[in-house]
Amino acid sequence: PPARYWQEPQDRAIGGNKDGGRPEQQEKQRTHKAKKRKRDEQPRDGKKVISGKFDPFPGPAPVPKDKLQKFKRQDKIQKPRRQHYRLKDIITRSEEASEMAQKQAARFDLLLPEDAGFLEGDEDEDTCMISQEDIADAVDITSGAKYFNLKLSQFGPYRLDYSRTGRHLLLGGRRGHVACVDWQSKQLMCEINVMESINDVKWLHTEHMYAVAQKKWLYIYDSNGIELHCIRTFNDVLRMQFLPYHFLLATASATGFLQYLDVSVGKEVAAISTKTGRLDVMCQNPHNAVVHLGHPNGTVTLWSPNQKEALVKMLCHQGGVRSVAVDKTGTYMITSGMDKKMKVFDVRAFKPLRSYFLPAGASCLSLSQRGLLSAATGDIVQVYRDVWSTPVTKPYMAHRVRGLIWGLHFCPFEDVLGVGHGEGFTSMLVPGAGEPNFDGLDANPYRSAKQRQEWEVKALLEKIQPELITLDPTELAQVDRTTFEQRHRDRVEALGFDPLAKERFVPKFKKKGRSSAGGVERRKKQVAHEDQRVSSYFQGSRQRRPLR
Amino acid sequence: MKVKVLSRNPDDYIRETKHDIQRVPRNYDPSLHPFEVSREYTRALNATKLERVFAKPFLASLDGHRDGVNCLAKHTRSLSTLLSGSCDGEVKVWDLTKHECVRTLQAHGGFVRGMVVRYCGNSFFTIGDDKTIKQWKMEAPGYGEEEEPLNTILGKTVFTGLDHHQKKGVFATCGQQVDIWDEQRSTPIRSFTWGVDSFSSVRFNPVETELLGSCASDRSIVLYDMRESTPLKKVIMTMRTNTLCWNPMEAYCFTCANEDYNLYTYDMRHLEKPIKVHMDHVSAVLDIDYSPTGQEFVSASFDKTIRIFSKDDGHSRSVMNSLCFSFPTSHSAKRARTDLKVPASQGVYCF
Repeated sequence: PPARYWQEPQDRAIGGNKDGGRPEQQEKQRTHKAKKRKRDEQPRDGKKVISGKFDPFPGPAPVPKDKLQKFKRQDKIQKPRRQHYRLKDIITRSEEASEMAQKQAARFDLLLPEDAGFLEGDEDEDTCMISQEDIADAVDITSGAKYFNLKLSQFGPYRLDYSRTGRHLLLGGRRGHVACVDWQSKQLMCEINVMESINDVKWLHTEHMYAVAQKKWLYIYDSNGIELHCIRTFNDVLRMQFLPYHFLLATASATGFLQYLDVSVGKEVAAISTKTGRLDVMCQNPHNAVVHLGHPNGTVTLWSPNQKEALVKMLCHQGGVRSVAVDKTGTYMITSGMDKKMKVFDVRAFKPLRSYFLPAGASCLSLSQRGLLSAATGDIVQVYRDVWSTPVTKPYMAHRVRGLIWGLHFCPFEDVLGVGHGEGFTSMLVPGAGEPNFDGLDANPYRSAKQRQEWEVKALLEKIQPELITLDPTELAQVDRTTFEQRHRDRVEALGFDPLAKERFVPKFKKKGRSSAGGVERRKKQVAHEDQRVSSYFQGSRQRRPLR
Repeated sequence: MKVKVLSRNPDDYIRETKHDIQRVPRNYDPSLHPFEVSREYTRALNATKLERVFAKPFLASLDGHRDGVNCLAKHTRSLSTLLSGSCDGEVKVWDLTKHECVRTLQAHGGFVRGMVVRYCGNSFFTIGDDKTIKQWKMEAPGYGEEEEPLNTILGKTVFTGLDHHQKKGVFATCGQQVDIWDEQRSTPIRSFTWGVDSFSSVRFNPVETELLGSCASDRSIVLYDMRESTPLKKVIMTMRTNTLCWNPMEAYCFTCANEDYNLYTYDMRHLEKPIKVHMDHVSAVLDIDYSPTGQEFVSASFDKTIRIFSKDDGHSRSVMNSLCFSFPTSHSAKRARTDLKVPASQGVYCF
């Protein structure tokens, strides 16, 4: 029987051996044994239905293929051929368990409570012409309250940071004003003036600590405004990035140093002298915790704390690089440069994908969780949708703020873009920007204090060591073939011969005249093609001997 | 225009009263959970380290013997009683809950070579270098009574090993040959020989109670059935076996502790090839005992370590080092968690 009611019934002869014979038997039974119909018409797959009817939808519900693709992990590995039965068994079982988990996760995807936001204009209306006030009027009060302006013209252009849960906002003005706010309830947590110029502000792992890069040194403050640490080894810091799963604060300084600070133990993990001059442009790749730095010669370099040289150097622009952003899956990197171009790169293959021309260049870039890109030019913010898949001709939304834009940041689980500028701070609505369904165990905007404490302890226990920061984060899960091959090569050198290589087949010389030339040749022919067969477990280490 | 901005109702995400549990919505999207491999690796590493941090196996040291302890015997009915025999002929009965010696008696003139408690738990047998087998009462003698054995049997040759039947009043000793004794008689009811002149240990099968196994000095293991008149089977190995122990859960499996640093688990029906070779010791393995669950066993070796093996693993799951030189005769108690008692040079250690 077909799997779904709209499918054509399959040819009975081709059907599986279980179901193929059944209908024929049924017909016979119906004609010949009309009395015994009820007992014999039970379906063979074990599910006994009292009424005797067949299930039109047998088996478990099918999982849509795109959802399965979303949860797909590593490909199945090539299993060892002969003799390693136990290893083969272990690998097969773990792969089965992984597939089952992927299927269950794909099924669960249906149950997610929230949907993403959207903005669609009418037939003649362009979405980029819709103003923020219109949107705020059209949506409910709570969402409308998310559009607000803070007029802070005294203390210079503002840099901002949202905490990982998206609840708390940190504002740092150039002339020393620092404020942390719970922006949804508009509750001020602390407001201080550090009496020095501020280059950058960043939340640490929770909303209880933040780092301020002041004129000379790096300071760490509590959320009540109390200065906790003044770290003198980190001087002239211009930009900072926090790697949440490694508890590392990466700082880029004006003297060309990239330094990593472990905020859980308070130790400097690495200080790399990049030798590329003033480091003003910085962003992190959330997928593999690699730091991207942009330079005035148009290159973007990728750094990890384990190496003194850059992992990768890419030439992106003809002028200097003004801003870099990487998406959350670590696939695309968007850069903007002094040559007024905005380019999209595939950061896994290091290939350029698209290039757009912006008449005035973009000074700040930010990517949202759902792939919306915001670019700031002067005092105008433009939001683009789907920059990498389809060529974009016009922005999705645009907004003009009061002063020169200094900082741009999407709020993590909300449809909100925070803009820090010369006249203060603006929070604007961008429908479709935030991830609608958060994971309660990872970053939960509605967590209580107890939940936050539990989460913090678990996160500290799972803190990843900086030695594991590589371009490919799944490198640990690969089979280590290089070490085996290296060891095999050393053994071959030490022994003088290859112990794993198969010995040449020499047919046994039979006595009493039973070994004739033709017989020997016949026996040799039986194993003639083994050389060409793909039967070896480690192909690279074996040497192919010529067939005689 | 059509617009929808993401707005969550806090009532759906925050619990109503403090007596409810917290709401935890889940999203298994892999992009929300990066670094899966590294985090899992860190978790596994932490779990292993914490397991070692919390593993504190040493429980107590039972001191009191004046000379080295030679053998141990488990009480068949009581979980908290242990008997130990020393090299000067002294036998001590210990209470494990209080870590105290309950009773001391001078059993033999020389070494106490072997001890076993009768299945009913009321008496125990000891053999000594003075060629005697003595049966003692488990209860301490009353006031004014002297410490006297219930029964003394004089043998012709020195005995090296002793074991009691699980159900009948029959016990077996080994020395120059394997003898089966009835408790009421003073001569063995049956003797088994197979061309060897010296046996080191004998064990009754706890499940198939009529079967016996013994280790001989010609590097062999000989299996006997008490109902037959001749031994059943023999397997000769490369090096001598010191002790063997039957698996209390599998009727036909036994593990032997060999001089070639390994332990071999055999199926008695197929003695050509061991089921498993357990390798981890770096010196001769002297004694082995099974846990009552039959899943694990503990082995003691001349390299001053005690290792716990799982029954189907080729390598040990944990190892314990002792500081002093020990002639280990290790036993496991009947509780679900394995309690080891190891006689060391001057005392018994509990793990």
